[in-house]
Amino acid sequence: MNDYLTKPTPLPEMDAALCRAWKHRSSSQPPVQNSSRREPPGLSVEELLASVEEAVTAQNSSERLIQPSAKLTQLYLEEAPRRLAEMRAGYADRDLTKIAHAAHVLKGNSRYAGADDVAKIATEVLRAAEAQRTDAIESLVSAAESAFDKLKPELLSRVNQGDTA
Amino acid sequence: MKLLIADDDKVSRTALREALALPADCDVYEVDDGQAALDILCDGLKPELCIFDVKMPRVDGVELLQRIRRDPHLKHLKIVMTSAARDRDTIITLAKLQISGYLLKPYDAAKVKPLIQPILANGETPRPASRNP
Repeated sequence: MNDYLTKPTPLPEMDAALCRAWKHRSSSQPPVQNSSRREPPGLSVEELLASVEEAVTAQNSSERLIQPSAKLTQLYLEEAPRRLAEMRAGYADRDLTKIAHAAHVLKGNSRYAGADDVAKIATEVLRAAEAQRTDAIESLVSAAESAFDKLKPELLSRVNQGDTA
Repeated sequence: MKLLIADDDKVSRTALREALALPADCDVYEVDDGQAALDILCDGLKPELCIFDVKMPRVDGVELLQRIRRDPHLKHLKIVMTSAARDRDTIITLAKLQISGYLLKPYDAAKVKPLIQPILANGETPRPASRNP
């Protein structure tokens, strides 16, 4: 604790306490140097757009974005059922935002884990949600669940191999 | 060396750490949202680099960035933003807030390391070739 005020606090006392706190702060911390505390030079709009464009091209041509570890695969095995359940719940509530968010996360996560079939179906779910095609969503969610169940033994085996490696 | 990662998706955070393949002496702090990132920074963490997702609960990445740039004790931080968003409006908003880089999701290990390593090694922001030189 740096100070104490009794309530109700008259304004002059509050002012004095704030001044004390400010003085204490100034003396206990090194003065802010303008040169080192300046905002770092950021990238321009053009530079950022160029880097995004480059990344999109690389992403589209890469089959495997990263080499998933056993830990990452295990995490995917835990998280994917949660995202599938969120899509199901979103469909039950006719909540397209919830469906789109879950599909978006599942799509990215599946690409990391090398679950390409699940990623493709999650992309379709995302497109259907964005286009407000609610009628298409239930069968797509079922297809994503089946694709995940089919891939699960392979993923589990990858985790076990990684654990013993 | 300290690195702060804020992203509500645990799989993405782990994928990013694996793509970065950081040395053992690098301390990585992970938080779930922008408010937790602000809390840990206000508690005194001084990371060499912050990597923030744009879409997060409570305080999102753009608001987090705006609040950091307004704070005299935090505004000097080097920040790389990440998102699956590719639209011009998002990029323009982020460019106005002095970011050191933008990582497109899902992460591609071949792109992540060349972008982050120069910033961590000597504070340099790698600059891609402009589309209109």
